[in-house]
Amino acid sequence: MNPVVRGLAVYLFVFIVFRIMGKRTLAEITTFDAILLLIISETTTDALIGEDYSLMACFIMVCTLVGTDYIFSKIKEHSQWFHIASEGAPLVIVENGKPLKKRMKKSRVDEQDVLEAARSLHGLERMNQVKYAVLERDGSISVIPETR
Amino acid sequence: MTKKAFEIVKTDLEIQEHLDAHKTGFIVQKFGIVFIIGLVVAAALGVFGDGILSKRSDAKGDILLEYERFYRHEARMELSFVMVNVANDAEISFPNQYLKDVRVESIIPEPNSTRIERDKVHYSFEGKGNMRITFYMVPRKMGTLNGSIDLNGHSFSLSHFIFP
Repeated sequence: MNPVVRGLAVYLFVFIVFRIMGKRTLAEITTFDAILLLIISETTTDALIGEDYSLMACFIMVCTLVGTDYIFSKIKEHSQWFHIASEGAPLVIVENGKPLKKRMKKSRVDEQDVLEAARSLHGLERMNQVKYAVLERDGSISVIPETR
Repeated sequence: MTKKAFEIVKTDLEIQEHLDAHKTGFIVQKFGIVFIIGLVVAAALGVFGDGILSKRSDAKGDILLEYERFYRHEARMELSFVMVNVANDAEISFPNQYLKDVRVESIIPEPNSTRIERDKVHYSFEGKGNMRITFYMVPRKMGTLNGSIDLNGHSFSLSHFIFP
């Protein structure tokens, strides 16, 4: 198969799969996630290069992937719909110390994830010390502490 | 999910939540996960080759042909002939058109001789009694591949569907 078509197909497929699996898939790297990412990268490498180990195939593949990424970023600049569809939008998951359960459940985030972010970012001890927690576009959790 | 089911928050944060996009996204994710699970189940059953839905066999007399109905582009598939109580040597003939779309990687056991005649490639095998001849082949074309293979006067029609 043509290396450009191969590169595009793998890029789009991996992109769609990670969007389906949700933002937390890449943000939260546990031991299991790290193993999963290693296996996925190995598998996609084989599919990307096939049996063509030439230098030219490598150049074509790198340019295809970088070029596709550049085109995507340009489309995102001009289309807010595409920007949100491809990267998502932030979501408030804790308001005034109160976890917003439905939002958290849908986003596959639990209270322990919020408390972990609160501890590591601000040294907070309890949920009622959190004014807002926001699930960001990249899957990380930002915490705004309650001011006293 | 209705709008009432999703908590509405009024914050003093300068943030654009795009709640409708989130709701659509969660629905798309649900269908996406069903699609991924469906793909895995289909693959396990052999919709893309190497499974019960993919294996096909065709018997004529004492000869059985086993092959893959579905397979993947540039992956190695097996095509086997099983013969019982063969009295004479075996000759298997593939049409040139079929071999244009499928590359023969190896044959076990190796044929005694190979010749090309009348748009066909003929492989001859010496032996008597029970015999199993396996061709390891790599599809070079995607989509439907059809062919008619002859073995000692019996003609077998086979069709593969090759996924990308």
